[in-house]
Amino acid sequence: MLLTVLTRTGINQQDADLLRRIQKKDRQALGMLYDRYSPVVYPLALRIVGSTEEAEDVLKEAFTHIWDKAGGYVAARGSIFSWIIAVCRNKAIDKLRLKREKQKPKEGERGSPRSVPERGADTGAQQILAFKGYTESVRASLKTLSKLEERILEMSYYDSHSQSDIARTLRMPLSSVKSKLRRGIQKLRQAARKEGESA
Amino acid sequence: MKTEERHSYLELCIPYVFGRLNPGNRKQFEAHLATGCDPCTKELAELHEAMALMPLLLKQQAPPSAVRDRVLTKTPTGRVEQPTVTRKPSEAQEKERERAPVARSPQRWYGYALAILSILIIIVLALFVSDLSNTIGGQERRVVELQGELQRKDEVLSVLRSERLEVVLLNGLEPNPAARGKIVWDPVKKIAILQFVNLAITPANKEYQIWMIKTGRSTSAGTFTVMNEKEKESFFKVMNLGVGEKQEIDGFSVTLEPKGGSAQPTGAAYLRGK
Repeated sequence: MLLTVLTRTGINQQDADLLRRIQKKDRQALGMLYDRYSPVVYPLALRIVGSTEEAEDVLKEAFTHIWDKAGGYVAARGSIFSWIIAVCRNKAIDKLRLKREKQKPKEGERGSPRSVPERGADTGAQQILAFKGYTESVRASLKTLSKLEERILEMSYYDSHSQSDIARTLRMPLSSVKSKLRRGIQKLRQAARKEGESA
Repeated sequence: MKTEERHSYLELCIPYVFGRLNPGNRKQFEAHLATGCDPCTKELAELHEAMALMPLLLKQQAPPSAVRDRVLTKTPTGRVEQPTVTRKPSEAQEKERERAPVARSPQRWYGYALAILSILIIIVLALFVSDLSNTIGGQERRVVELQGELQRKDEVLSVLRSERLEVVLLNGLEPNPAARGKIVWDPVKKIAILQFVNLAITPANKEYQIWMIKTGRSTSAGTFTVMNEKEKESFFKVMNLGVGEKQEIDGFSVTLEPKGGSAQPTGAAYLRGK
């Protein structure tokens, strides 16, 4: 599991120490956590909300949440890394839904193209060098995802589309969307498990 | 706790992680988690960690450094850690700079020219790479669309290959008399192909809804949207249909309903057939 890798590399322990300090309102600790994870959560926010300005707002809201609610992290529900990712995604999705409500496109009209981070090799992100090998390995493991499974996962995770919306957009039966989403998640879980075992 | 109840909570883990539970269900699920349910907690941890892999697949990109300052100064108390110290030059330094000779040697001009040229080359290359990645992105989307298309065709063929097929023809009604439709389904697998022609493009915030009529009562069989002129000319969709033999029903109708569908027909009927 991812947690195994994070524990093995000592990252989860360091994160736990930082979180304890954040609970005591140590802003330097928040700065260190930000330096470690902002290169991962910023492209995530950018991928969801589509503009740098809003992605920056998401980061502010997410780290303010971490600052205010550090005590709300429950270790049994996953690593601190996965908690930070979930906090950031939730903030970005909230913003996306609000935006969709405000600017419901007219029928047949396509939304303006969004700024989407590329997929590919890492640049920068010196703070999370420990992840580099892991990330490459995860990418290799996830080659088993079909394009369609990947697309459905992305539409669910980044675009927050319901399964029926996805079925409508891809013009597929809802049952196929459900099964492909489950299969995609299963492959992600297997990749996370496989990496943990080989760690 | 009963096994079925535990199972139904486990089923909620995926929509919970995707943030797709309605507020009531989310509150109920969180209350359940607070009881310390071990299987749900483990399932949730695994799902969170699996989904946390998704952003690792994106190209990592540090946000602009000013964001860091904004994040840290927005939090209410504590010390601010600055990543780099950029000291403001003193007045004496400023004056010294103002006094500094402005004459520049020709070598320095070559340096500037070279720098500008390099920047121009980088901009041109960046534009080229951006264009290339847009093209690749477009082609990838096309591949996904084609895969979806292929899958739909496979599904149509799998229905048409069935040994037994039921067919109901639908005729256009007053709001759209030119419309025609056909529902073909496999009564064993209960999968249907819907085909409509000349059905008006669905207005905003509306959806067409298909109804199965039995002894005067209508039961929803699903919704669909005619999105553009191409689909208006010919629309088809493969969907699950909760009906077996044709004799089980009196017919089908298609009405225009608010987006998301209705429990019972409320809008005008566009097609009917038996």
